[in-house]
Amino acid sequence: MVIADFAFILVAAFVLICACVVVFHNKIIYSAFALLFCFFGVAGLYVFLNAEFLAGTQLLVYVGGISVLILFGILLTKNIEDLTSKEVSTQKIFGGLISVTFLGGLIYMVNSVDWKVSTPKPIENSPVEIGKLFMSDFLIPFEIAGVLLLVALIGAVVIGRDTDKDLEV
Amino acid sequence: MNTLTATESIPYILPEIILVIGICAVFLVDLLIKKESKTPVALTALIFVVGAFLALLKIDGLEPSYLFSGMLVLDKMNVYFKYIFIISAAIATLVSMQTYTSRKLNSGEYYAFLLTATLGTLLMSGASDLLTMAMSIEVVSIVSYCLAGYKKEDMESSEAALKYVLYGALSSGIMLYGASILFGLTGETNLAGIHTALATTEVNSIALALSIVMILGGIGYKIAFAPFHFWCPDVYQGSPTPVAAFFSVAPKAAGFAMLLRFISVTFTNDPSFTTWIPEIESIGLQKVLIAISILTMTLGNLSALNQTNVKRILAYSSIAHAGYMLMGMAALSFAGVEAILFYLATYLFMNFGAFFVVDHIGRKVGSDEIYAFKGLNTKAPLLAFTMVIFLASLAGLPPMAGFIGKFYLFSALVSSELYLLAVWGLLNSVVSLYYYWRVAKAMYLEESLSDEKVEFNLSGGVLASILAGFTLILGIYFNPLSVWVKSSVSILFG
Repeated sequence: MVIADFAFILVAAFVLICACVVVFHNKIIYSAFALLFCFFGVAGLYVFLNAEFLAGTQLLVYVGGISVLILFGILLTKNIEDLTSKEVSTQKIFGGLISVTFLGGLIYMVNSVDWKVSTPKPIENSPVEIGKLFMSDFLIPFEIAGVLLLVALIGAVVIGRDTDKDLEV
Repeated sequence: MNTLTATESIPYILPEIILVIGICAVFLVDLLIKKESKTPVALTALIFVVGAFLALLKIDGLEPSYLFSGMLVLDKMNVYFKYIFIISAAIATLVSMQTYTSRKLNSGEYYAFLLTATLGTLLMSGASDLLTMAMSIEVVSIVSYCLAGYKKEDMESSEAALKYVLYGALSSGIMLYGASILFGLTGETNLAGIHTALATTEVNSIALALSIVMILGGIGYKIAFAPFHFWCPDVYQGSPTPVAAFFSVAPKAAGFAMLLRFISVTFTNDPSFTTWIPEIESIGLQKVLIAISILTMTLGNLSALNQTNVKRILAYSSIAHAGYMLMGMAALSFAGVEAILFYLATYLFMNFGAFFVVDHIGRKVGSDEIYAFKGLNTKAPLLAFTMVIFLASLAGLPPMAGFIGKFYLFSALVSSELYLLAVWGLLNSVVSLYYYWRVAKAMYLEESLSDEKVEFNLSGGVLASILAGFTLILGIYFNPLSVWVKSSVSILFG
């Protein structure tokens, strides 16, 4: 039990440190790599929650897909490697103050609330059960996600392709 | 309570199904026909919108039920909102057909996105589960980003899309965090389930307040209430005008539908807003709503005062109108909900009309600035006259529909004894007169800069006249609408 707790703290700290690098690092390429490791760590957190299927999906979609896409995006954009963020110092101070207050409020809240704890034992063969739920109770969100992805794909193509001749105004 | 399983629910979501088929059909027609003529694509979209409307007539009489094991709901209020969305989709399609005949911007994707946005708003108004709420907001948002950035070669349009994405991503994130807190407190995602959990067990009211405020943030981004309104003027100015008109009506109405359902189903014990779950009393939900509505209408009206671009004026005015409608929400009464429903119907016609005229001027004169409207009365009497009707209605002058809408709102406030808020709303309406008057003055009292022809063609004139006609008729003969609104106010509980 103690070892599991220790491992959890390790993974959580890893996620937090990576997330901080994403936010605070000036160079976008470092942020992108930190985001990749952050996604890895989140997959680890899912394992602690007995959500192995979700952890696998997280690795496939976020680490394998989205982070790599972000890296490609950075590599294919001109002059972006040398780009450093330009913030006005008043923005930093105000933004920092709001964020710290909000963080304090959240920490206080998380500690003071009796969270609803789920009592049933974790399911052994979770992908099967998830699949069944997708086709029964969660059919509508599943279908909405289908439409959403279709339109997002086509939208990305529309926005991303070269301005071709037949789109001239 | 009547909860249906997936297969039983299918007849209840007929309009949505028709729209999904329509999206695919528009893509297919776009592929099959020649590049030069795009009218068939627009016609296909229009046919499916009409089909969805007919399907809506068919499901109008069905018994209110929870669908798909409680993920969606169909009740009277939901059906009313669906009429608003489908009518605004039809008007947006018609306006786009007008706009894009001369341009080649008129591609199949555009109409498919419009249909998807409509589908998203239909789902938003019916969402009765945190999961479907978040998903349907995402559908509307993602499509909106694409539509806002549709004129890629236009810098303003690209900037609008980028701002929209950034604000949208932030507010979705905030809303999901709030939803996760609410789930952590109650162990339920279904709104009715959350209500049962909140009514039977005591929860930490600070956490509850935080989650409510965060969820309001996500919905508020769609409604564009302060302080989530910053994207609004830039996006409306940069987007293609028919799209801006659609954004200012349908997603806003969908946001209100979601807000009404979320607040009433989750936190009240009975449909008439009399008793609430105990924690809500200590949070002071009404005070929060009053503060948001005051902030929204004041910021909207004051920022509109010194604008010179008419599209931006309409954007700020749409923020102010969201503020007026939030007053109805803050009344927390049946009368307030009725007033919102009535106001949305009138707002649909007057706002689409105003945007349509601006779009027309923008194409003929090549500018959305106020000076482009100078001397319009001599050049294009019909155009100027319809615009004055829309502006007068937006300002809330009798005998226009906007006046009746405001009248309902203020009487709802008075019956909830929120006198100060009502006075503040009236003051705001007076302020708004100034900037509507500036546009009207330019059209009627100032000399034109050039003599080029800007009058509508036949179909444009018919469309503008129909919109102006509704704006006038709903101001004089509003009884049928108000009867319909009264019967639509019931939200499915339990």
